[in-house]
Parts: sequence; structure tokens; C-alpha cells
Amino acid sequence: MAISTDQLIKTIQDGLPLCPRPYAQIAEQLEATEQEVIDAIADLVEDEVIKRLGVVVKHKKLGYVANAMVVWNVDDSIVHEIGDKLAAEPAVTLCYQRPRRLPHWPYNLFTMIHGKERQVVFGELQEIRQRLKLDCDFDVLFSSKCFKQRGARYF
Amino acid sequence: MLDEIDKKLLQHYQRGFPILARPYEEIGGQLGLPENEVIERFRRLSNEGLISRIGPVLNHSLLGVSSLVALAIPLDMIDSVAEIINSYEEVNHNYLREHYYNLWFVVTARSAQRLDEVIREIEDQSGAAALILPMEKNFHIDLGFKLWQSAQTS
Repeated sequence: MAISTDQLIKTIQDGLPLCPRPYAQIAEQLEATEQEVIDAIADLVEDEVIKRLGVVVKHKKLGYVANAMVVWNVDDSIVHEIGDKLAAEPAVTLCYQRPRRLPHWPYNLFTMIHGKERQVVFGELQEIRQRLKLDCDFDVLFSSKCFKQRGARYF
Repeated sequence: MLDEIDKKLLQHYQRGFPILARPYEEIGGQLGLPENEVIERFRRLSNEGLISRIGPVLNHSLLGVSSLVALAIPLDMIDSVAEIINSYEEVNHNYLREHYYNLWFVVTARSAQRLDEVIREIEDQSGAAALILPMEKNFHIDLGFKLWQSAQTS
């Protein structure tokens, strides 16, 4: 019997159980076999519906308290090239293109840089700008409070 | 305090978690630990709040519709507006940031219609106009979060 993707994601989105046979426990909830669950999860990873399967750390608790969203106003003609270069920087953990909302919001490239201290983040940023010869406008938005952080829920 | 084994558990298994009948036994085999110690260590790291879960990081763009949203809210109203935003199941991240646009959150819904509805309701309740900033292109592959140079390279 095929497992419904919706049901499977609903069952695992908050995490796998910490027991010797987690996939068997999920299978029980779904009235499927352990092997069917294993195959279905492997397919979701293969199809990139699951971007990664594993430990999701709380970086703030691990000392990475300086969390900066760095936004850039990059010329549209080179945004893909700069996006690829920024994404390849070890300090950058996310790199997305988003629309500008003029006149309020001129920035079209969004990156995240995490560090243990703000000074370290500014240092990384300075090095990245020099290395990539980025002279466009940018802004740095440090987070000062987290009101909510969890995986997206679909069901 | 975290020892070297804890660091390896936190770093090496952010992706590629074993998809086979006894994943913790497999990890134990790789690190030279019994299965039950792997489970106990993950449980402790989880209880200490260092791990939010062992599970999937889902691809929003294949499963639903999502957007980053920003609002400019007077500081004395921040907590009450944040509470309104958090009350939506569709909101998974919500941060205060140091900027004129100071409240930044991510809404993920099953349909574009529901996404619009949630954002519209939050605008109505907060009295602020939202910057709606959906992702247009992702340049970064999610390899997890790099915590330690040594655990990374060992």
C-alpha cells in the first residue's frame, strides 16, 4: 500500500522518535510497514521535498547569538552571479533573491550570517565585501529577540 | 559541557541521517558507541535545548506557498503584535530586528489564497502595511549549520 506523502510529512515534521527503530514506530502510526516508511522517506529526500534529514540545532543555545540578516541592493543584471558567489561564502548560511518594494525597500538579495559576537559578523562581512568587490548598498539587521522558531507545518 | 562525541553528533548528522531500520545503531557504529548511548546523548542534547528536532528540513517551494513578511511596529506595541502573529499556525519564524522594519516573520501556507488571507488579517490587526517578500530564487544549498571547525574536518 502506498503511503500518503501528506500523512507521512505530518507524522515526521516535528521530528523522528528517539527510539531504536524510529521508522517502525512511524509505520505503526501510519498502518504501514517499516520498509514502506523507509522507502517513502528516501524518495522524499531523493526528490528534494526533504532538503536534508537530520539534526536541527538551536544555534542560539550553542552560542551563536549574533544573527544578522544582511540585505543587498544588487544590480539586476548581475544578481544571479553575486547570489552564487555569496552563497558559496562559508559564513553565509542562506542566500535568497526577493523582490524590491520601492520606495520603502530597495534590497533584492538576502543573506544570513551567524556568529558568536557582532564584531565577528562585521569582520566576516567586511572580508566578503572586499573579496567579492561588492560596492553596492547594503544593510545589516541584527535580531534582538526570537518570538518563534520552528519548522514549517503543512497539516 | 559538550565533549567531542556530542560535537560530532551535533555536526555530522545535520544531513544524511541514516534511513535504515536502526539509524542510531548505524551512527553508533560510525562513532564506536553502543546504540543506546547514541539515543541517550541525543535525548540529553534535546532536553538541554541544543537540538530542536531530528527530522526533515522541508522544501517550502515544493510543498506550499511561503513568504518573508516585514512590519514596522512602534516598540511599545511589539509584544502584542508578535503575539497576534505567533497565534497563526502558518507562522514558523518570527524575529525582532534592529531596523525601521523591525518585525520579520515567515508565513507558510498550503495555498496562495490562505497565504494572502493570513497576511491581510495580520495587517488589519496590527494596523501596519506589510512588506511582502517571497523568495524568487535560492542560491544556497542547505548543508546544515557549521558549528566547529574541528568536528567539521575530523
